Amino acid sequence: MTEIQAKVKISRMDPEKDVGFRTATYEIPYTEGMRVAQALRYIYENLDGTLAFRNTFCKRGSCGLCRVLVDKKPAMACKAVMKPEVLIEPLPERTVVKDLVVDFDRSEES
Amino acid sequence: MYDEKVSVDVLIVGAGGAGLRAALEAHRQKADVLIVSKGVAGKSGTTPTALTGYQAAFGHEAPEDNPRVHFEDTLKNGQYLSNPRLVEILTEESPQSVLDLESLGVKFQKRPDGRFIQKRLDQSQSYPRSVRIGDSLGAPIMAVLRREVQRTGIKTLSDVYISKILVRGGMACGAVGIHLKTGKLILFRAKTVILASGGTAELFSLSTNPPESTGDGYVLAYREGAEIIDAEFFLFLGHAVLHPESAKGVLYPFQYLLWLGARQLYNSENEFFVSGYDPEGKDNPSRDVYSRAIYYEVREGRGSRHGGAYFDLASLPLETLEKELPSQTRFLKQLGVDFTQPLELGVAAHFLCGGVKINERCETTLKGLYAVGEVAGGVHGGARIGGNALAELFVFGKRAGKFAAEQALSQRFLPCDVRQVEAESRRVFDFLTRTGKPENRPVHLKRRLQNLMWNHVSVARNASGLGKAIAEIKKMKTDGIPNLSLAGSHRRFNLDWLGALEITHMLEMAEIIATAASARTESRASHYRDDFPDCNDAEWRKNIILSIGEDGPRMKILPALYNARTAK
Repeated sequence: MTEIQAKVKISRMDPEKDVGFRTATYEIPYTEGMRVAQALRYIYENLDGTLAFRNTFCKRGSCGLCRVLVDKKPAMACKAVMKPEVLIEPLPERTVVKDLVVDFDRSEES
Repeated sequence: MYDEKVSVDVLIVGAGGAGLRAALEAHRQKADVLIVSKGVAGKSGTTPTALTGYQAAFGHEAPEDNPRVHFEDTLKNGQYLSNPRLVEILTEESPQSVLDLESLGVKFQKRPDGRFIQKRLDQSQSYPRSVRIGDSLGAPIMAVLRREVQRTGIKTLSDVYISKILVRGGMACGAVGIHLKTGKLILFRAKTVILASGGTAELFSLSTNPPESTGDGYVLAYREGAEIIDAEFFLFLGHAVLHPESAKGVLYPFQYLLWLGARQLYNSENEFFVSGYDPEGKDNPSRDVYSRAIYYEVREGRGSRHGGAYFDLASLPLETLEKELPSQTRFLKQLGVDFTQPLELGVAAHFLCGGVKINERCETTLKGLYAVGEVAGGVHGGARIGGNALAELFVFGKRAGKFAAEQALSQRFLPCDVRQVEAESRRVFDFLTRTGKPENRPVHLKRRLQNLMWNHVSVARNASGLGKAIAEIKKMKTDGIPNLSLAGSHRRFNLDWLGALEITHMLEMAEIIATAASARTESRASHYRDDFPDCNDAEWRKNIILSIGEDGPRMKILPALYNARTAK
């Protein structure tokens, strides 16, 4: 059985160095029923350790910290179904800390 | 040396249920409080994952129930190693902790006459005692606490990794941490510090906790000389989902469904096996028995396809599952679980019953340092009843906040020792200079440790496995840590940098747990030794207490307090 690959495009930015986002593309082994969070974890652990994302899993589907834009729609990465090709971006309404990580501290958004 | 300096009366490390509850109480005492969180304050941590258990002996469901029965149940479940004074406090003050939360706006389920709906989770509780909010207690409680913290203007700072507690003249006087968002080093000066930093289940390959449970708080305290008690008692659960991969580690508390007529777990030979593992033959025993039962069935070749047991989801109507476990049923569906098929459930690391030794004021053995919640030790003894964790958080959270604030308000700031800060700054930033060896990333060392702990320090332990584990952990400390290599040297949200700091703590914690487990040559509660399968009350109704020594942990073995009392 040949392994199916998925193409994951991720918006990346370090606000200290970059003026705008660039898109990095990663190819990962794809399995039916895979969720976006698994794809991100795979990329971080095996392909690119500089990727910043909230690598957490509350195991309840309730904390909302893994929320990202998946193909332009907000979704929790733990629940969002992976497709063979997907674009992942940070949530638009908050300040980007790095790559997919946004700032959740209200007190700092004054 | 440091990039920013912050001064507060009370510094709280951790922003789960214990941290927020402590903060509210410290604030009420008029202390200036700051809560820092490794994740996002009020959202990360393990409290939001709490499902159906919060033990509070109101006696609304069964009039025979009262705090004294809750006390007896708790001591018995921990096989008489708990500090009985802490258990008295837990069981006497738990109903008030529920009422406190209710007055803040938490809506526990009640009958029309105002009595709480109380449920029995398993046979470790004599009567139905757990208050309820559907199948999801933690999240709504946290939502209320978050709102209250915001309303009272208590300061919170997310994405802060505390890497060291500062000590002056034998007293905690602050902490050093990295602000992960910027990579800046912050010096926190504080009159008292409360550790509310949660547990350490991430030490094992499969855990029910969010991955941030890396044991940081235990090690912060231990490194400065505080004592750790009952570290060998790690609770594993037998109701973690094993398949599909997306749902791995999610809990499905089916035990509660057994009262409603669901079929008990069965193995690959279609046999019910759980009661055979309980010394009293209970058909719905306490949680540590489940994990051992599944572990041995799997080891003897009778496991489910992915290494667990089967739960027949179809043994109850789907509407019952949706009614009784609404949020978990919904979530598992969203993760792709097929409810027409049997669910594979298995063993996962859940909770360290011991921790940083505290007294009834939540003081650790290091002056000025307090501990509360999972990181604290002494309440549960050898195992923890489901629902005693939330009770512990809110009973002792209030106490930690009160006593830490009182002490803080009675004293001045101690000057911090600049050399400690300098040394910590060097240690932390040194990791960023180490890159280029992609095979030595922190995540690789972590996976090695998790496998080692799973194989030798989990549900069933023995001398040879534990000896191997301790030797390997020591080697990872001396060879693995100095050879760590990060994927990048940037400061901003560098997950490998955080990973390097965490694995340093995890190795220390692994050594503590394995050392205690190796010393206890008997089986008791959640600690099971297959080379010493019996409980040895004559020699081992004792607590193992570890503190930092020259070359690994130093050990004290003291008679359990309950033992000493009854012996009089």
